[in-house]
Amino acid sequence: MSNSKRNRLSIVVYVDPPVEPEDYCSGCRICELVCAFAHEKTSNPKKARIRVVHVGLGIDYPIVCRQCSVPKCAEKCPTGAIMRNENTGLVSVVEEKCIGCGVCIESCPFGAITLHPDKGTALLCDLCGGDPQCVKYCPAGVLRCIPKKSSVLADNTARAYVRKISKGKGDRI
Amino acid sequence: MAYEEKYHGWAGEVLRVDLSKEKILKEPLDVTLAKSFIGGRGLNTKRLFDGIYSNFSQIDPLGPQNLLLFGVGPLGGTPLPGTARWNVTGKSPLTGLLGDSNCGGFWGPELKFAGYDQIILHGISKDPVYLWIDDDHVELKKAFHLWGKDTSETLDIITEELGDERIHVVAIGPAGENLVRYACIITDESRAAGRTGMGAVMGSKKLKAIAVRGSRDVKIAKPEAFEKVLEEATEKIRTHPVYKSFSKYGTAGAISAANAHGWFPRRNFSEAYVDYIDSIDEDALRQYETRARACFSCPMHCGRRYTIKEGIYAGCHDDVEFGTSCVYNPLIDVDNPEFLLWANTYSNKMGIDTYGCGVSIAWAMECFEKGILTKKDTDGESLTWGNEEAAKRLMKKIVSREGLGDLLAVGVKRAAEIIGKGSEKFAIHIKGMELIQELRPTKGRLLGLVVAATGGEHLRSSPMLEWGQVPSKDAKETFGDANATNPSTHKGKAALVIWTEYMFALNSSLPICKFLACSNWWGAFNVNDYSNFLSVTTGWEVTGKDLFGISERILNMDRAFMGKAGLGRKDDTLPERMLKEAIPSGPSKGAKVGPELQEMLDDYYRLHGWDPKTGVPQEEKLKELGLI
Repeated sequence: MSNSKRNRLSIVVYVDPPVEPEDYCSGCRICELVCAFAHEKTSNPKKARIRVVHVGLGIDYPIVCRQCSVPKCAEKCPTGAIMRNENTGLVSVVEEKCIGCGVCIESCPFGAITLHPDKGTALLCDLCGGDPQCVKYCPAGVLRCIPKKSSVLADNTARAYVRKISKGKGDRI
Repeated sequence: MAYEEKYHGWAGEVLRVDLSKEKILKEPLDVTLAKSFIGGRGLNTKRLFDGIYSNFSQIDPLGPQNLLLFGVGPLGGTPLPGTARWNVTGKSPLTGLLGDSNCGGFWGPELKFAGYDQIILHGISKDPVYLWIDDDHVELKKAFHLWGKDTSETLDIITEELGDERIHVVAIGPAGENLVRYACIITDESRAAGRTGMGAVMGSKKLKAIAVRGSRDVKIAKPEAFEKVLEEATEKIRTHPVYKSFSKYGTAGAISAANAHGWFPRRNFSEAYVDYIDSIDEDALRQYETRARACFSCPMHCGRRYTIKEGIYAGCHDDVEFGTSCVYNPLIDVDNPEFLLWANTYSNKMGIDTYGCGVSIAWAMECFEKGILTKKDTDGESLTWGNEEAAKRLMKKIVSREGLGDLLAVGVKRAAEIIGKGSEKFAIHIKGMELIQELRPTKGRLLGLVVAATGGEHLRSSPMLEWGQVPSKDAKETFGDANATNPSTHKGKAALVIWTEYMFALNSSLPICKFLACSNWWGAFNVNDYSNFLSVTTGWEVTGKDLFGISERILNMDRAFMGKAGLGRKDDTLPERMLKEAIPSGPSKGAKVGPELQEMLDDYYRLHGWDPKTGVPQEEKLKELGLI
């Protein structure tokens, strides 16, 4: 795939850094519910392509495919069911080819892939065709859909950092 | 039985567990019954009514004949906002009346995903057990290793044992095992089915926990319409004027307002205002906050996580809600918010209702002040107001039922009957259930709590609308009086209370959270929204009017239990202190209860169609409603 296509690709991310307690993921799992509903027209979080992981006391974190530039899941898939779509640039599952072996689950370093509880095939975020429902419904607004283009993520963090160290100097009045 | 295609919203199966015989049965959900009582509270109450109403007064709440029911309504497990609630129901060991408690968290929806709408528990197990529900697989497992463990330890051990971090658990703590009469049931880390002592019923049945994992669908009947309804409902909540502050403070946001109005109970209700509010209000709590915590499928995230960095209370603490902040601060006159955070977490771990516990301690402190209890009775403890160390030790004794703790573990009504010496006069309870709200200045809430068929609790009928503004045109239209939601007048209050009862009955049956819906805050969801939610989810065409008809049946069963237990109008009253004394100081100074209470009661019984002499439904009424 050409670099330009990869640069146009978006991903869903959990936005850091939070400031107030409400800026963190609240663990409501609405993202899971609306994801499953958007794809399957039913309510079942086990059919979601995004999952909120809960650890310790009150730590919640949404896990979703990060569209790796070097996707290990696609590399390991024995049937070629997971591959990068040449048109969209998206790493996605071709359900007809998937045999539900779970090799992709083992190879994803984020644990972002699960198996469909009825069909047994791999579930992977497809960005809802460009309008991710998890982002739309996230009450805390901590899920965002941003361009994968490598410098954007870094720029956001870098700007927040520079603002912090400059302590408001240079702000317009 | 296989999962039936015909069910939408409802999961379609009921689990019946006989703990004495160690038998597990699965039954299909009777659709006609479900459409008459919806689910959750409604369906639980109906099952209890059919099961034990005829010999209700003879049933020992802690004996094998009592039933314990867990239920979730058809909206549970859908993406609609605030639908994570579940109900637990049985005869209450605290009041001897209907026991029923509603709770949030994640467990209710998980039960639906496992394929069940309701669990009906019979009998008493020989050994401590826990129930493990994994879709089709349902099993009673021995729980010797869990007996004596607190609710967090129980969660951790079960999670480890079953090898899945994503299961959800309801459990009792040592208080439930020791049959503390206001023991509660805790789900996961911190959400409580707090009131009416259902934890003690679970303890009497030797059932330590119910762990659930589900992977099935909650089917949606009309996906396209559902999507539109979901979008509108979410928008309605998130653009509501109160959303910002509620999602920031949770119910604790009411602390400073309650004090400013003089509705904040201090020293066992002898005052209604504190002068140290700045050290305990929502902004004081805010400095400890680390996270907002939501129940499943809720955009409000009213729960909080708190971290205390150093000192004796250091650690991570659970959600605190408004009522708990009343009992562990002003009610016992402790001005330390860190004590509140600790006491709340401790109560959750031990599985005691914070309200029952706090009011009992406040009563003991007043007994000590008046010399009714002395150091001989308190195991040498100086139970003075604000003595948080003594309160801490007393809480531990209540859980383990040692010394004075054993007396306080039976609830403040029984404890005062045992001690006597005039202590009944300041035992703050209604029908045996500890009360945490100051009612004298707020006439609607006064009526609401006085008539609640489960005792002095605010989740049956307390018109929360008195806290906020309802446009007078709306108030006139809905309650027949433009000033109905003004706390200081008593006109229109019966209609306001009945409307609240009807809405709350639906809230706990659909389910949809009371804090989220308009039963609390005007302008969010109304009864027609509820019927709309039901119809897009289940495919059942139902109107708001039909739903209020269901509420009426539920309310009549509630009060019929009361009548059967020998209670009636004479018991629809207040603790003596509230009935006879005026509030002595603060913003609500002079507020007292006058003849308006009896006037409001007359109105209330009349509007319900009940005999004003007995205050409970007569047989004809129950027949007319098809209940008997």
